[in-house]
Amino acid sequence: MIVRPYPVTAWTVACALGADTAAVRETLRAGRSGLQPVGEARGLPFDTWFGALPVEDLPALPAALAERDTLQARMAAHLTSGILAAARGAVARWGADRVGVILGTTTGGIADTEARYPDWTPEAGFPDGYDLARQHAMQATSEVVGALVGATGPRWAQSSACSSSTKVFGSARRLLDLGVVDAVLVGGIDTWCRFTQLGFRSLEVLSSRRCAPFAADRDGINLGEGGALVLLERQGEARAWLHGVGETSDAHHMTQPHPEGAGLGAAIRRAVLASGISARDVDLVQAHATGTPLNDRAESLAIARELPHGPLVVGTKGYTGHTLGACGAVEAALCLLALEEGWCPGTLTRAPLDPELAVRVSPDPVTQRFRYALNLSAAFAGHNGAVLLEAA
Amino acid sequence: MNDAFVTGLGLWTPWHADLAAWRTGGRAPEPSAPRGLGLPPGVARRATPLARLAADVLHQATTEAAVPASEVAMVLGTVAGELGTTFDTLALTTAEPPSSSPLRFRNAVHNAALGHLAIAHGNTGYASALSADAERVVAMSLLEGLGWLQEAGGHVAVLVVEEAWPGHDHPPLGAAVLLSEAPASGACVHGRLGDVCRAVPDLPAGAHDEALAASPVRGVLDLLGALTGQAQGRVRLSAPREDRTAWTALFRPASS
Repeated sequence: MIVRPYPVTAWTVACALGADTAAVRETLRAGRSGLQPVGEARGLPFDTWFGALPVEDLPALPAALAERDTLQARMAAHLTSGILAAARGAVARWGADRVGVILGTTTGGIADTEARYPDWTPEAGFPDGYDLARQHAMQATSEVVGALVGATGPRWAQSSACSSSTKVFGSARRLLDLGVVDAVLVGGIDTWCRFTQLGFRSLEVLSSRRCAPFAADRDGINLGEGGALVLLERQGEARAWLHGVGETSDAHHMTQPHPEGAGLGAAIRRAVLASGISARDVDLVQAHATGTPLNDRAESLAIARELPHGPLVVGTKGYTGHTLGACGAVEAALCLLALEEGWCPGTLTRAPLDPELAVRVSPDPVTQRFRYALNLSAAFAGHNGAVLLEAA
Repeated sequence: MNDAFVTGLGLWTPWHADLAAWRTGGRAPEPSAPRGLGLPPGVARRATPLARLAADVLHQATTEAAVPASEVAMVLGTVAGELGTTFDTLALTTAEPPSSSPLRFRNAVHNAALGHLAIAHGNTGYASALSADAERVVAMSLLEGLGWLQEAGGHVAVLVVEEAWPGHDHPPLGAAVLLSEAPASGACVHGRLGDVCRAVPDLPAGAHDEALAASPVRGVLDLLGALTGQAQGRVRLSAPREDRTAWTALFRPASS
């Protein structure tokens, strides 16, 4: 079935590259990474690199939302400020109950939970009234964003690990197709926490160097924080178009991709087929490109198999770090930037590139009018996502 | 919004191993743990209680619908997800020196249960793990399932599960509703379900076991009560607000 495209009417991003869309654009244009070394000073018993959101002291939530206060909620409020006028415009245009909010996350409020955990007891709970449903749970921040923009329609968090905020585009499409909403604010937000740093360290996939997607000597990921929000509407002035979304499972391994990229390849195929275009029309691929030996090999095989014409492939985690549940949205925002400006950053990595990866990766920026960009994510539990975006 | 055939149901509580046991109105004298039906024994041992609970209700629903678990799309809805495993992992990450465990870390991820199910059944299709608050969790899970069915057809298993939260009293509870574009040969058809929206429910709330009614996903009890009772009308999926509206779905029983 060929799907109807929906207009992207607004978007915003904040990550290690900058505190707002303009700053992200400027840093990306300058070719600078947002990654910095971290270790003992942030409570880690090892050295790695991290992409921190460059904002000192995110302000507290408005009083009405104080009971939901967490680092993630504050980051969400900061991010929402970058799209507030457009989102409230959609609420005014369509009605509050016709606007949905779907956010991807893997961390939820874990940064705050882990800070309080040493004082938690099963009998007394958390000492300062910290609430698991309102603050820790994955859905907590979607409630904050919904309240800030005044949307009362369907609202949830998508938490399918690192494909979370790729899959939100599929969920939003479905709500629009069902006719239960006229606009959906989608995105993803994840924050710093020791929980994920230590977890990935235990899996031996965290690099002590700056991550190097597609490099011959790549040896793992760096984490990052931040997010992006994208406003999709039934109709409106398009900055870009959302076409098909492919979502599949590997059914292979809980933490490793299928070695041939079978599931990711199927997601690419579905996204392209649903969009009613030829695979040859895809001219930019924003790869998941984590910088682990297994991911980049499997992903390259999937891209080369499904898109044999050799579109430009870019990996941006050398700039931002792996923002986990937010990476699908952050990287969709970078796709939107490329579609709007006809410019794609180079893949920030280390020479030489891995000669066994049969995809066209450029370390240098590329100026070109891109029409169709495909944004890919792969995740724990084998959940894959592919989102096709078109320039307006 | 298109509606869908309801072709399979499942329920698990500590006192009811399946839907049939719950429908008797009684309860087992001693609580039990979910078994992880359909998971290979090695996988079931390594899986979390939430994953085993999801496996049990999926098994019931797919069996009744006469559909292989390898061929259903899956939506997993919870409020707080793998909270017990997360707390177990926090005990490591907040200790001195801090550490983690690969097994605990991967199992703490919100979609871990779906990964175990996909691997066990060889299911390479769509699967999606969502989190919503107690008011919305059942309705949002159904919306995602109905949306997928409209997009891709076939069958979708909507699994709404919640484990006992550390430091909280509510027991684990899980349910499955298998929605089908068309019933498989030999499948049971309970009726048709759709039109998920906030409205005043037609059907009265069921009288539920007090312990189970404390679960954040207690809305599944009203849903399953209406579906198995063949009651036509707008089913409540959440507790009504002051204006008497609640998240609801419209059910037309097979007998209507």
